[in-house]
Amino acid sequence: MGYDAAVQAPARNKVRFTGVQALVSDDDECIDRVLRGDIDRFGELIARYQHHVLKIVQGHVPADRVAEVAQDVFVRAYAGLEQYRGTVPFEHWLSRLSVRACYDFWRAHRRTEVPVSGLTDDQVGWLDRALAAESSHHFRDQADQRDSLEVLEWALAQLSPEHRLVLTLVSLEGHSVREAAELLGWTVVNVKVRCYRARQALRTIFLQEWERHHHDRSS
Amino acid sequence: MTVHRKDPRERIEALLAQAHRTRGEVAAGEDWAQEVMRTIRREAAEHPVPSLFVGAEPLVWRAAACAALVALVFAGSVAVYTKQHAVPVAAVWLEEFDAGSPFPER
Repeated sequence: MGYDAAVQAPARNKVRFTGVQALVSDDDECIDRVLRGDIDRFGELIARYQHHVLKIVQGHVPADRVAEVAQDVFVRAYAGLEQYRGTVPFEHWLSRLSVRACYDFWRAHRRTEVPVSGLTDDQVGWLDRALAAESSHHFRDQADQRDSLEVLEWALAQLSPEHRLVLTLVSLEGHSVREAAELLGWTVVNVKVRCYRARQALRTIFLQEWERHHHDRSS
Repeated sequence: MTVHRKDPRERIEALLAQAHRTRGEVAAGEDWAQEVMRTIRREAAEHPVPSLFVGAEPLVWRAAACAALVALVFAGSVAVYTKQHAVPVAAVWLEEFDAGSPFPER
């Protein structure tokens, strides 16, 4: 069961609800055993939640760094297990840790991961077509999808870690402001303000790059 | 999914959101999980959890709560008792004070 479903969906049927309860109870038992020194039981938690953590992490960091950051999440979870009070499901706690680890990753690697070059001709071509087209209907072929992913990576790399994270959660992944606030550990107002600024920054970045590219071409 | 937006900037954002959803899933195998466990065991060896106190912490809190409750009940009963027998209690205290005087009267 995903984070959103766990937060929002009411227990539609008893069987499913019982399943969640059993899982939470299993988690508590596992955590208790790990805290008493049975470290191997932590492997059960990894097996249970690795897919969930990987899914969150892959939305925020480059594909070749996902495994490394996801590992960091579980190491942090183990190190901070004593702080887990059981007031929220373990899955939610892990979600927060995952987002936090991605944030720390970008804080540490922003300087090395940001591309110094601008967009390529193909990518600016994609931007031109996106600006001219009336719908995304024309963006279905593989080359366009690859270009859009590259443009996305380039644009996100220009943003600060805070803006990058909040924009990804709210604008790209469709989380509500309240969910993003819970995941980031920020206030709702803070998320709203940063999301607005991030979108403005993204638009400015595109506009500047687009103008620079066309200016270079004409001169 | 086709996105129809009049504002070109919004259209670009929508296209980028579509692109974000097409990111391929990264699968981690058994090796990865074992590597994580190895790292955690190493971490545990370097910073062992004081397991002796893990179970003791809730007990300490429960004992503290019980002690606070007993203290409250005691204070309440003393307050009620002294209100009912204010004069006799004061007299007893005074008597004790007089009796404990180190300077005998001449």
